[in-house]
Amino acid sequence: MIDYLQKHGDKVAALLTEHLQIVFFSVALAFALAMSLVILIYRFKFLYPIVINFFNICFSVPSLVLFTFLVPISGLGIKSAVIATVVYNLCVLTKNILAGFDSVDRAIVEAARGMGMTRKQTFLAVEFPLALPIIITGVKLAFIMSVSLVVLAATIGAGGMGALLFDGMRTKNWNKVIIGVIAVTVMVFIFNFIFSIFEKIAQKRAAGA
Amino acid sequence: MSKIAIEFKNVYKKFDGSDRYSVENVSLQIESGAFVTILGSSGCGKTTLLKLINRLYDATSGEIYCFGESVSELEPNAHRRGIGYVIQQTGLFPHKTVEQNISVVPKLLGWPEERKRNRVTELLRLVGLFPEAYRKRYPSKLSGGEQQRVGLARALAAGPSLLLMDEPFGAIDAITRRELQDEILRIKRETNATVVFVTHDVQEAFKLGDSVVVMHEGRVQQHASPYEIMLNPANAFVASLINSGNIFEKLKVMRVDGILESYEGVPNDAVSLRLGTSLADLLQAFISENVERINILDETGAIAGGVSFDNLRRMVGRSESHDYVI
Repeated sequence: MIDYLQKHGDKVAALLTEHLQIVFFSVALAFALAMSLVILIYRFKFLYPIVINFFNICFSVPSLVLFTFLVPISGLGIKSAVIATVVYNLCVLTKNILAGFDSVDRAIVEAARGMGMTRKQTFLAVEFPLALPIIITGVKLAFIMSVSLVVLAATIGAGGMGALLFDGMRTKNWNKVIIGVIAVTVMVFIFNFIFSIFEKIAQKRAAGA
Repeated sequence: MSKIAIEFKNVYKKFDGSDRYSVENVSLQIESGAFVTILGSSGCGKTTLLKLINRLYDATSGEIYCFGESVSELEPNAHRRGIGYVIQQTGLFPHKTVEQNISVVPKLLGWPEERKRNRVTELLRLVGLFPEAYRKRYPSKLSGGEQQRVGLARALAAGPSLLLMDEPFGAIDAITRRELQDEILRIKRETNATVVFVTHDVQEAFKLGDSVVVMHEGRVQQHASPYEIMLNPANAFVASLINSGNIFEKLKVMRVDGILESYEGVPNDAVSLRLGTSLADLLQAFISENVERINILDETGAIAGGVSFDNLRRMVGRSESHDYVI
């Protein structure tokens, strides 16, 4: 295994970078979309059940099915991988961001509005910081889920650590498999670790400490 | 002298999706500098009435004037910044310190740091909290009573001429509640703001209010001084609310202010009580001190008048002569 890394280290690093790029890009894009969607839902309340039900349906579609479904539309490769990952992330993030804002005590918001804070000031200075712990939980879940999704995205030629893993399985090159498994596990572990810390900090801040 | 602070003119409020009015044909005048309590059970429209003043709700029809200006023509946020607002659950921001909480409105108004800091010190003293011990603390580290004191300080921050309080002491234990009631009366005297105070507690409404607005099913049943309401309840509902059959209950909510006689030279050994004392406490003083007449002092300690035992008996007797079929 060490031998393999010494020989093909640059290739493994490239796949890892590719993997992380897809993960970061998908989560970031999904977060921006989810946040806008939530703001829209708060303006137009009737959207709430529609959006939630739509995402519940999307989320219940198996990822391999969605990847394959996208191939005739957006082709093989990274584009389809990103679209599918963004869709799943949107489900997780929108629901968590909504749950975050729902968890904010209405009395606090009412007090803010009653003191003459504008809608925007209330959102930025009161609702967002108080909703942040649950939002961060959503982001953590999105990262962890995306790492595994992007592994599967290798089946439609998106590259990443999945390419190494599946390639190793096909050719019975166990070095590739082991390196792939370790890399994916470590990525998940690190995302979990980092975001758990952010989560704790946000929780402390929101509760006042 | 008696400028009008708040005026409701034929105000109706119906919420979307509701088939009845939450506030129905309310016309009401609140004088500047008055302490008015709005009394009623839950769902009677008293909180809605309050929120119509600071435009958290807008009236379906009718006009509301705040110091002569129609509230529907005021910019809501600027309007609210000029009004102190205290709610039951305190609504303190848990992620902000006491100091930051109190500075919310001054910050919105763009006060300089120095002025904000000094104001926080001043206000914490006013509400009876030691400034240096409290300014950096978070609301979660305070007791319910302390939180509500901070809530009060926050509402007073920009020196509003109007204070709206929505059952502010509803979630607070009886002893602390009584303390806070006395505090709010003192603060009201010191700031001379107009206070509109919503409560479902009869005793609280009568203890605090110069006048009491009794609400039921969205309508104002009676708006009069506590004394007047006790003596002449406007209808069967008001009579039942104040429990007109029970003399002692009445004495507890009626204040000595209403039966004051002019000062006519007082014996040296006279006992003194303060304005605002309930008739129940007055009766107790007559019995325990065994005197015929008691002096009543104002806030400064000067004699405002006196009450004789005969007068107390006559007044209470008069209020008993009304009969209501409920």
